[in-house]
Amino acid sequence: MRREQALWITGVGTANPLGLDYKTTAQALLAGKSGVRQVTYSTLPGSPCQLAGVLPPLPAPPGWNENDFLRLDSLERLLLHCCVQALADCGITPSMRIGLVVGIGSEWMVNWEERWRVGGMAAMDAQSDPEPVVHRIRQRLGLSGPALTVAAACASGNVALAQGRRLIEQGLVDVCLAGGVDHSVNPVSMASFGNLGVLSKRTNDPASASRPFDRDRDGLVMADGGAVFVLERAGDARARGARLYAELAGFGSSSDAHHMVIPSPDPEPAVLAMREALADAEENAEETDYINAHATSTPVGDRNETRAIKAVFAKALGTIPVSATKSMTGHLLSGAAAMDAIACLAALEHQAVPPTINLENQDPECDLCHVPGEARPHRVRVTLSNSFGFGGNNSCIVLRKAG
Amino acid sequence: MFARLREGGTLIAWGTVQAGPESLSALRRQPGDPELSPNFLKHSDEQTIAGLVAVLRARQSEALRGTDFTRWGVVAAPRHLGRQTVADVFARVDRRGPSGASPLVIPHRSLHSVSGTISEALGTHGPNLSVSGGPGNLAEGLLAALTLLNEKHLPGLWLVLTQWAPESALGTEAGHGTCYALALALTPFSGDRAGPRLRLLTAADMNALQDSVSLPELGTLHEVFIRPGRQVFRFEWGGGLEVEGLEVLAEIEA
Repeated sequence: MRREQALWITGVGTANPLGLDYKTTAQALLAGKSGVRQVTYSTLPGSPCQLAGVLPPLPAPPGWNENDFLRLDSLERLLLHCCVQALADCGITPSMRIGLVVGIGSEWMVNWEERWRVGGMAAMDAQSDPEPVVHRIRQRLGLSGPALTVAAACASGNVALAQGRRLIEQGLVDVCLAGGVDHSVNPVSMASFGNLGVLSKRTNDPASASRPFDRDRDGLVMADGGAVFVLERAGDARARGARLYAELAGFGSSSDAHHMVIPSPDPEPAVLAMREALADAEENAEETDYINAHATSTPVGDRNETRAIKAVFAKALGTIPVSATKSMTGHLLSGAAAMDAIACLAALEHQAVPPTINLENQDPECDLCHVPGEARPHRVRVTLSNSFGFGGNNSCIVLRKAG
Repeated sequence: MFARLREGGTLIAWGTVQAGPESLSALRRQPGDPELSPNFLKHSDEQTIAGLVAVLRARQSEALRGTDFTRWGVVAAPRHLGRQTVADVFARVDRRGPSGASPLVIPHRSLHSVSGTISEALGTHGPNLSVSGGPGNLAEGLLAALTLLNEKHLPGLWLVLTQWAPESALGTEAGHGTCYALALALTPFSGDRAGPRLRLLTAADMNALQDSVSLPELGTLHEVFIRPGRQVFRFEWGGGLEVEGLEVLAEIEA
């Protein structure tokens, strides 16, 4: 779609199992490090799964009292960290019309579980509800634009980026903070996911548990964290000499309309999302230099995604590297798409494709151009990132070298 | 004097639900579409049930006869989804340990559950997303839906607004609240569909206007769409929603 003006990412804030800022995270991704650990503090005794992508302790943002920061709930600490870091990174002032769009699928479940642990059932009543976290952050940072929470399960971060772009293009804000976060590595949430049968049980070797596309994969590994990006018009960014991470060039989305958990065996809806994103970016499939797969390490999901990627890229498939960075981070749920976008930014900046670690015996039904074990130097101008979520949500973004 | 006009959505049909717990139990088994299995909504939240029923009622409108919904989108805006069910899960975990953590809360009581279930029920393949989940759900739902429509990729979308009022205190038998749902069938502005027009206004647009009010509560929100004339509603962040009834539309065309 021909756009009046390109939208650029000019700031990044993140906290995730690989680091507490973009630079550290990018280096860890390209080094093939794992952020997955055994956890006991956030699981119930006897839980079938005791693995997670662990968030390092968050320091209070500059200018914040440490005790005041610690009094905030976990989601607010995480989102505040990401937003403050992103704003500082891009260097704009809150005096502009700044909006906030964040993908968070489990805000109230996380909030209620924290309150229940402290005060029991009574603490969960409606009169004790805080303001939604995006409204609290908007007030704390003095943002003058709208603040929205969006949820499309694992696709939430991509949906938030697209919504942020809409707010700017339709003149409702000048700049938008957009991304996704999650903090569901909590006892009851982990037990629920475990009872759903989707979590890996490789407790004996945590770093090897998340193994997308590997024949021996047995499920996903949950993780905490996420990222928030600053989106602004190219002209504005250029005028103030901003750092240009990438252009948010394309977005596509669709629904399976099949099942609330199991992805559709028909690849067509996922294919539609990818084609729509490429068309939106005005790029042909064969111009793609890197695909960041959704690939959560579930038996069904990884195979289905392979079929969809093959349908879109066809003959070009043999030359376009694909990697699954959840092998290193685990699955950040509502924060996953934003985390995967960071992997694309790292590829664009360093001209190298992050690896899929733990890919030791490729599933024959997942025959893509993999990057097993080690990062690969590669010319990268156009990246494509898939995020396919529960509820049949399919989303895809295209990030392109800016400038 | 009209504010600077920007595009938005045309409202071509709507459906409402106001139901207590007993009515919702009946609607869970028979939401109003014979093609849905009686167990389709077995594990769904009450707001999901009410939202889907509101959509199914709207779908019966003459204005939607013959419409192909395959590429329509769904935007849902619930409020505090699943509080009692989640509280029950915590209580079971207290008694039984990890086996008490129902796996069904993830697909059916997460924020995305409402839009995902409605999308599956209708067989729509356009985007589905849920927004807000808390106070401000009405304004966030309208903002998300109308900006999505402005992109003109979609032939139409369902905006489904739901909430309990009041929310019952946890643990009370049967509850005293009512679950409200309003489903709006929206299409991009075009010449061939008649209906009230909804536009988003920026904070600057709003500053140029003299009269605006806050959005009414969900139970009476549908009344603003059947009122003739022009109305403006202010959002918390300073922007607004303009609703133009059919009478005003006729004036413009003259």
